[in-house]
Amino acid sequence: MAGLKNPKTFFVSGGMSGIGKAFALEYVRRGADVAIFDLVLDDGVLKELQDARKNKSRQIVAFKSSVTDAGQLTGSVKQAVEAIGVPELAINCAGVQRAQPFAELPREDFELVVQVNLFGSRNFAAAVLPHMQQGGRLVLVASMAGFAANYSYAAYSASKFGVIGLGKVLRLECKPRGIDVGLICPPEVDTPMVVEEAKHMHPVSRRLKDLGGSLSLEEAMQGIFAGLDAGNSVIIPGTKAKMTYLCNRYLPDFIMNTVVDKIVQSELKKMASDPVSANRSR
Amino acid sequence: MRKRVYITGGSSGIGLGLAQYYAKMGCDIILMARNQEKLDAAVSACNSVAVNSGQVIKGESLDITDYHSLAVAMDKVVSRDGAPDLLILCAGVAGNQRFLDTTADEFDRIVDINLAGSREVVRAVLPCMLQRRSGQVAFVSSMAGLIGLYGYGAYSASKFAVTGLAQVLRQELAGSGVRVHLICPPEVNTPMIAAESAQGVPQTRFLKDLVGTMEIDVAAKKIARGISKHQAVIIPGIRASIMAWTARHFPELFARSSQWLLRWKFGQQY
Repeated sequence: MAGLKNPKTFFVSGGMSGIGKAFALEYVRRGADVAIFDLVLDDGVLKELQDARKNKSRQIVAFKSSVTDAGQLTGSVKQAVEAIGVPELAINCAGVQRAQPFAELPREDFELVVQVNLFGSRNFAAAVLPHMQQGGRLVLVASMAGFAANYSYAAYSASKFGVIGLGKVLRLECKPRGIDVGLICPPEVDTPMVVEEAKHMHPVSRRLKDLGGSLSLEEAMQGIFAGLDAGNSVIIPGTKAKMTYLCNRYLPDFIMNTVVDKIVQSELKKMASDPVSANRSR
Repeated sequence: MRKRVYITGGSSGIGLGLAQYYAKMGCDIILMARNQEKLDAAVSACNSVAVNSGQVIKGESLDITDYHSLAVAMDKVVSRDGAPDLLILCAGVAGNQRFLDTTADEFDRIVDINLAGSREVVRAVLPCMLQRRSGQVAFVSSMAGLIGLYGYGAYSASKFAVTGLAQVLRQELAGSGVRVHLICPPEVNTPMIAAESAQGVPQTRFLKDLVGTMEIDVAAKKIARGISKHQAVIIPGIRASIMAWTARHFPELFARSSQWLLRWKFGQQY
C-alpha cells in the first residue's frame, strides 16, 4: 500500500497534546493534509504544525470537538472531509485517566473515563468509517492497561479493554471494504495526561507500571511509527512493554497472578508501615 | 450455616440456571431482576428444586441501570438478608449488529447494562463483603469478552470492559478475603440468545456455530464447579476453552482465520 507510510490525509482526535500531537507533527512533516479534533484548540500548537510543513500548500484544519459528543464529532468529521478529503489514515487518540482503588473511585470519574476512552473510540470510528475508502486505515489508541490489569485502574482498564474488544471486532468487519483496523497499546509515556496522573498515583500502581516500563514521548513514537509503517495490527512500543504483553499471553494465569499479587501485597505492607511517605507520594 | 447467593439477572438464562443449581445445593438464594412476573416464576422454579424447608428463596425487583434506587434496594436486601457469600453478576443484554448499523444510543445501552450495571452492583455490595473479609464475586462476562467476533462491536466492547474490571478487582481484592471470578461462557441456549438468533447477523451465527451452543444446566454446573475451585477465569466447555486458548496465544492467526472462514463462507465481500 503506497499510502501506508505517507497518507495524503490524516485525521486525529486528541491531536493538541501528547501522543496525538506527535502524530499530527509527523504526518504534517510527511506531507499529509491534517484534520485535528480536540476539546481545546491551542494556537501555539497549530502554529507549530503549520511551521512543520515542508510544502506550504498542505492544509491543517482543526475542530473544537469532543469525542464524547457523537453528533458534534460526526459533524466536524464531515466538515473536515469537505475541507481536505476523506481520511486515508485516522487515529483516535483522545483519552483520559482517573485512577483510584475501586472502592474510593467516584462513579463520576468512572463514567468520565468510559465516556471519553470507550465511547470516544466508538464515536470516532462511527464518524470516520463511513467516509473511508479501500486502502484506508483506522487506528485506535488503547493502552497496556487494555490487556494487563493494574491496581487502581478499574475505570481505565475497563475502558481500554473495551477499546481492544471494539478494535478486534472492527478489524473483522472492515476487512471486506479494504479498510485496516489497528490497535496501539503504549505503556506509560511521558505525556501531559501521565504527568497529571503522576501527581497522585497510588504507590502500588507505580510499582506495577514500572514493570511495563516508562517511555519518553520520542521513544514511544519511534516504536509506534515502526509498527504503523510496517502495517502491524497490534502495536506495542518499548521492550519492557512487549515483554509484559508476551508474559500476559504465554504465562499461565496463576503464575502471572501470583507474581502480581505478591508485588501488590508487599507494596501495601510498605505503605502500612510507612504511611507518611506513602501519603506524600500520592 | 447455609451459603447465601445473590444473583443479578437471576430470572432467566444462565442466571436462573445458576440459581436453580445453588437452590439444589441447599443455598439461600436472592434473585434480582427487573421484571416482577419473571422474577416470581424464577422464585417458584428455585423453590421446586430446593432441598430443605428452611431455605430462603426470594426475588427482588430492581433495575441495575438506575443507580440511585439500586443502591437503596441493595442496602435493604443486605440489612434484611445479610451479606452474600457469593455474588453472581449475570444481568446483561446482547446486541448482534454490525458496528456501522449500531446507533450511539444502542451502543450506550449495551455498555450501560453490561458494564455499568455490574459495576454499580459491586459498588453497593462490596463494602459488606469486605467487612466480613470473605465472599466471592463472579462476573459473568462472555467469550466475546476475550475474543473479537463479527457483529459484536458494542457487545464485545462491553464484555471486554467487564473482563478488564474483573481483573483489576481481582488484583485489588487479593488478600482481602473476597475472591473475584471471571466467567466467559460460549453461547448458551438462553432466551437472550434465542431473541438474538432470530434477527442476528448471519456472519456471527456462522462463527458462533463453530464453537457450538451449550445447554443452560450444563453451563451452570461447569460454572459452579469453577467457582467452588476458586478459579480466577472460568470458561465452560472444551470447545470454548480451545477457542479462547488459541485466540490468546495466537491472536494474529486467530484474527486471520476468522477472516478466512468468513471469506470462504460468504465470499470476498463477506
